[in-house]
Amino acid sequence: MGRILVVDDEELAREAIRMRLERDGHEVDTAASEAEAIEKIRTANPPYDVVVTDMVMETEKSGMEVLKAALLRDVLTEVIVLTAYGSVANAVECLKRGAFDYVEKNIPGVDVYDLLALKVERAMEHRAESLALIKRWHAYQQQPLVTPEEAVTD
Amino acid sequence: MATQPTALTPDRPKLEHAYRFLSALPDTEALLRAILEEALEVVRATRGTIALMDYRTGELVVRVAVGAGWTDGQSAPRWRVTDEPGGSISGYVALTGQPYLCGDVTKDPHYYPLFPDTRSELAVPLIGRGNKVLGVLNVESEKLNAFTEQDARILTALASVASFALSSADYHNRERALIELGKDLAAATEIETLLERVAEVAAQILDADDCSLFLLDKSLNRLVLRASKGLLRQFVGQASYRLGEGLTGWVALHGKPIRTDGVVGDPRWKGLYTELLPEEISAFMAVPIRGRNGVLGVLRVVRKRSSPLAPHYLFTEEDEELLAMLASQVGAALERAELQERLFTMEHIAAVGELSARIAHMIGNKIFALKGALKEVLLRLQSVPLPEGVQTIFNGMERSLFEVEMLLQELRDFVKATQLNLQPLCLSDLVRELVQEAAQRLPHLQFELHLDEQPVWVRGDPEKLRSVVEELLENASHFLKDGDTITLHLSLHQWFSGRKVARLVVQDSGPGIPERMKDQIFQPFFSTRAKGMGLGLAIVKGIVEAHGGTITERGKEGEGAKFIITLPAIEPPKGGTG
Repeated sequence: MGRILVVDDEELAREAIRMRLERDGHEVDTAASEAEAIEKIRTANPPYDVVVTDMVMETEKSGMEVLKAALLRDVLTEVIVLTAYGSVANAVECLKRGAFDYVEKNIPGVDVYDLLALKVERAMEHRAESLALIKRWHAYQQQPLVTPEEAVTD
Repeated sequence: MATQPTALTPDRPKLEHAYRFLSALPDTEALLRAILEEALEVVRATRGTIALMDYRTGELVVRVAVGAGWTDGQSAPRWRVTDEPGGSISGYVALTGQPYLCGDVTKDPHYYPLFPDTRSELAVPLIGRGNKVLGVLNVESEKLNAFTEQDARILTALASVASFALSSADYHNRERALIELGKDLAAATEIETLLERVAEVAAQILDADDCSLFLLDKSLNRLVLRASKGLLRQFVGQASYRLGEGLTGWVALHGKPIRTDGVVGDPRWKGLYTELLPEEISAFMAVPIRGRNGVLGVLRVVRKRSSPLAPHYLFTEEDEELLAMLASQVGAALERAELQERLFTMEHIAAVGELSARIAHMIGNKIFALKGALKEVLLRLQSVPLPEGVQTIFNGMERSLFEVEMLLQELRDFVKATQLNLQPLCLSDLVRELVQEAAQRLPHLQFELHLDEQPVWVRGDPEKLRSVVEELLENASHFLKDGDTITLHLSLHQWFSGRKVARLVVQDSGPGIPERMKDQIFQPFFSTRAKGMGLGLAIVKGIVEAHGGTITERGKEGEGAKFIITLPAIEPPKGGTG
């Protein structure tokens, strides 16, 4: 299963997400702020598979900073942004900049923890597909090159 | 009648004396008396009068009398304005508007004997603006042929001073009334009080017997009586005209004034609501009240006949200008009041929105954490038998969290009510669909839908307009019992300005909205229901107004609620018939 970083400044929320994802068999690390998250992402080795981050922490755009750091460390890391009331616009901005998805924290009548777990699952799949694609690309590049001229004169 | 040039010289300073009086503006009575005294002296008359027109009765009434023979306490003579023999020379002059010189009264057909020693008479009219006769200056002498053409010219000059004094006193009064009214209008106190004051002042300065003020109610597309001075007062808020209906409706529809003697016989006249009996009306005048975007209402005045025989006491062009000026002041005041109210609501909403967004964000985060923690507890207890009642407690906790999130959503809808994603949409389809859905969701209620054959299109946000109708239906359903009916009417209306509007009426057969609550129902955080924050109708109003529309409640308590929404309509897009 995946290596996941959960970033939220609300301790109870952070822990609840950690426990929920561990239940699915993921290895979960947590960070309580944008700064802590960026530090952990930089030093992580291997990089995290998925980063789940709250949008609004130190600033309105903390989630965006976390996203940037994650993609800088590993362009294939999948980022899921959590948004509470009023920060959907920023989350959409994150999608444009390469986030995998976002989850609204307060949808009445919806179990958002299950929803989040599902999206993490999907993100893992997506990452696996991307990795597979890159492997194929590498394999293709390592084959001896046959130029068209050689093919014709052969 | 020979002219005596030498006689002129000593008279000149006296005329100047009269003009000096005038500029000092003493009271009119004193001025008229001074002018008459000058006149008597200049033309060496025995006695004289200045009589003024009473247009109500069509008679001349003596206002000042000077010279030998008058006694104190003598009642003022009144003369009819006529050319009948013996009707009086003053009465004849008032009729013709020309000076009249009579050398021998015994041979004069118009002479009306008042003093036995009178032999000759000279009378000149007091002419006001628009050649309107204001009165007559009359002097007499016990000598035959006492007055000359030259005297007539001098008296005419004095009479014009008197006319000027009368007009300026009149202007002065009107000006004062207008300034007073202007102050009231600018103070923008309660609008109803203002309108009543306008009716009162208009009647006063136009010497009218009654004045009524009608304002256009855009949701009804009718002119509704908002203020009246007399008989119609009891119908304020009820009496109404369709646009184009009656004289009042005509004025609103065409944006032009009407000034007429009586109303009977005018083809436009309907006689729906009159301040006086139709045959009592001596003169009628109505002007449109204009705003920046068209006619807002009509201001009308009437004069009563003092007797069936009295001539028509007509409104003049000057009167019309004055009424139009009043109307434009009213128009400006109305628009200002509306703007203020709108600004206030918008500021109010913006402030509430910003504050609530911050709080909602914080609460949302905590709720999210709580939900997660509760879920974790439940998952951990899954394999353990729970003590009795614990599951019920957990269910209650989950439900409470759900309800808090519903409140947050309501708040978000309220804040976002004015952020629209506009596109052409067929309102007819939308309403039809929503009524079908509602009928399934609320099977205990009856639904009636009336649609025009032509589909009604608007530029709107489909999601937001959907929630407007849903909220109105939802709101109604809370006050209805089994078998009650909700009726929806959707139709297209054309305003006189040419603008087309979609009009949606949502009416129910429930208890209706109590009169005392009507002002508050659209205010944020007003609710009589236990659930929710009372933002429902505030959201609805926010959305409708953001679309450039209006929403009002017009039901009567006990007869059900009636919400009327208007939205600017558009032409159906080509190819789409809805």
